[in-house]
Amino acid sequence: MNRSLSIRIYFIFTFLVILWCAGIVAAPLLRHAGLQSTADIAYSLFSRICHQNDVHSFHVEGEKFGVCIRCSAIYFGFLVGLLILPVLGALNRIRSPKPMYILAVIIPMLIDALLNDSGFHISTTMTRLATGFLFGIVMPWCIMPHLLEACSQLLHKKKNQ
Amino acid sequence: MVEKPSKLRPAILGGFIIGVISGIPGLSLLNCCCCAGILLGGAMSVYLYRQDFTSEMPPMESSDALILGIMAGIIGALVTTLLSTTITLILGPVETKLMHNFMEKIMQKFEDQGSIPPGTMDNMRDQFERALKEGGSIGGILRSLVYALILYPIFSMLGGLIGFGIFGKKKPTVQQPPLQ
Repeated sequence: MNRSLSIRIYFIFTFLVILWCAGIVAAPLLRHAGLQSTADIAYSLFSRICHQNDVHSFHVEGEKFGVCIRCSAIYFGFLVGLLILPVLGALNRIRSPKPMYILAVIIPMLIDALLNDSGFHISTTMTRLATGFLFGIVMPWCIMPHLLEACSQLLHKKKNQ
Repeated sequence: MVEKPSKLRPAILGGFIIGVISGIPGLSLLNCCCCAGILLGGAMSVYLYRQDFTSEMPPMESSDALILGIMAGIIGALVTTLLSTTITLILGPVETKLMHNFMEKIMQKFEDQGSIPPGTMDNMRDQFERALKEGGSIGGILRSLVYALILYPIFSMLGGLIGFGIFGKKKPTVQQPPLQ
């Protein structure tokens, strides 16, 4: 795969993930700054993908984040994973992990969430953070190789047409 | 060489999985765990597409998974909006109140028994009330559709790529030489 193309796609994707994470923190800051309608749009957008329970959320300036602790851990873990990806190896040499490793990071988070919802165990901030961050930090390894390959294939097909 | 199978059927099925999980109040709580329902729908569409391949066809590519995920996400957004709106329309204003009271009693009972943590009950209550409130007005329906059309294809695409990592690459089938 073309290395410069991989780097370009990587930077665009990383920029979008940074924007997403910034939005999570920006929502409470906007509300605190008095920009109520803008903050409402951000909260409303994030409400589609998170319960936004006040008790289960981090707070800044007395206002909750756009998403809960578990979701915050996933997204910021994803960003950290994405940032360390090129440090560990060239982008076009990354290999997707085996399916069993993917399941190994999904299962602790699912167990923590499902046992909490069924009342068998009470999730703590630490378990939410740890299992969410573990899932988030590994996901770029699963997604990026395929995303880079897919974008390269699509551009190649477009050129050939 | 035989062409690849059509993406429409698995995309529709994946979209329906997303729609059912996200459109039904209560069940949509699954999406509160990093859009698990949407990721699942995207991954399932890739799994179903993979089943349509035969040994004569060219192998499935990651670009197929990416397109499939986006298609399933768009269909899922439409199905979710349609389903949640239909639930509100069928229930109607009177039935909404009855249903609200009924759900409230059930939730209170669960909470009193302590079988479900209070936080989860609050989430369920919020989800139910939000679904009923937004399903009622045209502005709410349109806003819901726009948000879904932005978010669902993105998460479904990521689900499709994760699904490609899990189910994607088909091992080449070893052709037995004909017996002499």
